[in-house]
Amino acid sequence: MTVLEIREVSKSYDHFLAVDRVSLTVEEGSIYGFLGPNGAGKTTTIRMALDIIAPDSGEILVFGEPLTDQIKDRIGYLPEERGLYTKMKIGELLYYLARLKSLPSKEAKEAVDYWLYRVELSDYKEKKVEELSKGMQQKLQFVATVINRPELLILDEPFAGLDPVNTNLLKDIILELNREGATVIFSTHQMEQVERMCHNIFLINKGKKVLDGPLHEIKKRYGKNTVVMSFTGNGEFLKSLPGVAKVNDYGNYVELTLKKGTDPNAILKEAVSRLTINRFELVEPSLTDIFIDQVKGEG
Amino acid sequence: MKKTLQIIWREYFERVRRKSFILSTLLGPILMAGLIILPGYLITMSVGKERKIAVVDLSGKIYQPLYKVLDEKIKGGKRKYQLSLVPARAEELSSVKKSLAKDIDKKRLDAYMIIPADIIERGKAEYYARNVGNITEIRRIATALNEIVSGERLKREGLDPAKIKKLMARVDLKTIKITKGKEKKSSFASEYVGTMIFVVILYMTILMYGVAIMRGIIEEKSNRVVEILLSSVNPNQLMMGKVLGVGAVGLTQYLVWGLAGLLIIKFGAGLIAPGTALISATTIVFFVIFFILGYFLFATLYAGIGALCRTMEDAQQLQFFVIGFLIVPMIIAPFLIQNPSTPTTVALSIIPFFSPMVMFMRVNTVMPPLWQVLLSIGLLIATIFLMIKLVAKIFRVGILMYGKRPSLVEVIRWFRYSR
Repeated sequence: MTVLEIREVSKSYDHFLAVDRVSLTVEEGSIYGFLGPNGAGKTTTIRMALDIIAPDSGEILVFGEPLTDQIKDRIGYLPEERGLYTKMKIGELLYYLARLKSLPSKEAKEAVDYWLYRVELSDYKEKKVEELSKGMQQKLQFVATVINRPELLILDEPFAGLDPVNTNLLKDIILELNREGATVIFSTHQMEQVERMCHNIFLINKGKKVLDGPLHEIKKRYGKNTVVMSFTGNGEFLKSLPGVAKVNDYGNYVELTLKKGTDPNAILKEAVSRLTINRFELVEPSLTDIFIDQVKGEG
Repeated sequence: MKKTLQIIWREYFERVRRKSFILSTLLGPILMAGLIILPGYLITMSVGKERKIAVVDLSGKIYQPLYKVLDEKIKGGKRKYQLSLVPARAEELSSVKKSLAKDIDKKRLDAYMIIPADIIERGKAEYYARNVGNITEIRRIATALNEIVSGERLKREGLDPAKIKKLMARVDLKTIKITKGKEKKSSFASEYVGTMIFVVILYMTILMYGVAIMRGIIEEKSNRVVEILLSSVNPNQLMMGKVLGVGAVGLTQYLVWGLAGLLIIKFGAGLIAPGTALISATTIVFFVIFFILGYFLFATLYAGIGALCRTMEDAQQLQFFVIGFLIVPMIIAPFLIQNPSTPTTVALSIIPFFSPMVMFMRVNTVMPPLWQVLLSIGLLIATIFLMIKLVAKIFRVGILMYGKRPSLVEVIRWFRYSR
């Protein structure tokens, strides 16, 4: 079943075209990564999907129909710009947000207790939002998003500014909800997260869709054109080898992007003669490389 | 509708629980009670105290009649004015005054009076006291002296003071207002003051709650809650929820004040200062009607301003033009109340934006023809619906604008954006 369908959607602000005829289909149960540089149109696309702003043209269907208030109840949304009522007590705030998602009173109360327990904020239920630390507020904000156990979870930069412990905690919850059947869409700049979590990616740049599809297919399309090598010795000369298009140099570890038709064995031969090789592997390019490649229009 | 109810509920409870609300709601009646009861109470307070006054009567004709005239009693049956005659001759006057002044200083006396020997001819006397600000008491003593002296003069001319007094009795002109063919005792002053008090309350509460909505929306924008809310509700629900929730807070405050007012009237009626206008049921009914309608109109406008602005400073400027609609009737209120049926007043009482205040003033002074009242209310309701529709569109686009305040042209363009 298609959870979110965006058809030829455009949106401009004054004379600036923020989203240009973008189409996208998100299938049930997938984890979709929204990628793109700052100002590429990610947030605008997400806001249009939620009917927070209206598109100039095109059509958006959620669970197969145009968005209504009832359908909004099945969605959880974490905006990029965070904020909560700072003067409200945490328990009351979550209860209110759960009720706005049409949870019955009793279920809403149970959900508040459950989720506060899950993110280790139970002791703060009677405290005001402004009394929490920034990290706690971020957890609270996340809880507000999932309190209705949404079927569609849309997260705009969910991991921005989180410490590793909390990043893990949220990641686990996202995966748990996904395994229970929730479809997840999240935008991020953290390519590693995407690479580890997402089934599909969607890359947007300057308002236009650049890439869209299953992550493994996209990678396959690029082919195994990348050499990963770790070694001891001075790897300076690797940059100037014929057939090497680009180098990510980490000192004792390099990623070499090869030009088309380059024989990896030639590289290996040259390397063995001058370095002690600990590892040599031919792999698909990392998402970071694909991202930079697409956005900068190189290759 | 369910979601709107949730928003109303939150807006209502978050506000009603605030210390500032509780304080202003409680202080209102105390202030009201103070204004109504305090003057009366102060009068009884001072009435209840005795005054020790020494009288140096150089004429020898005044003390006895004065003692007779100043015969008010205070609680316990004691005389209020405790007069004592100080025998003195004109030569001794300065030393007597000195010792009396000392008595006043030591609080053995409240005041002393010097009655010159020629008081009947020259009509002059002196009153020395620690406090010469108690106008009621001093006027009472002056009137008494006046009566005695002029009576003495009349006697000298061979006239009968009692007869003269009767012949010179003043004419008392009573003003009686006719409402719906029925007579109602009232004076212009009490009518004017009564109407103005209600108009000021109307003005202040509409302004206060309108600004509260605007502030709430700007806060939600600046702390970004609005986007979370909009992922659950639509802008219309958000706006209506806020307007209705805050309006309910206003009505709650009125209810508390109204009940307090009833209690004051019931248990404190004896203490109410004379001249306080009596409030009729019509006034209250129209007050509530025009508060609700006026509130809706201006609250919607304020919601729109809130959606357009990023900071309170931005809002200050736009707000100015809304306040204009409220303040113009306030400024010309004296003219309107005195001329409740001129074409200008009639027009203003029908034009929406002005009508809540002006029609209320008219209803309170001279009941206008029914069709005018209905037309005014009808137009007001129509305008409210129009404004809600218009502002909801501004709201939808403006609520997510974090950048600079849009120009009027841009706002008009927004109307196209929204479905």
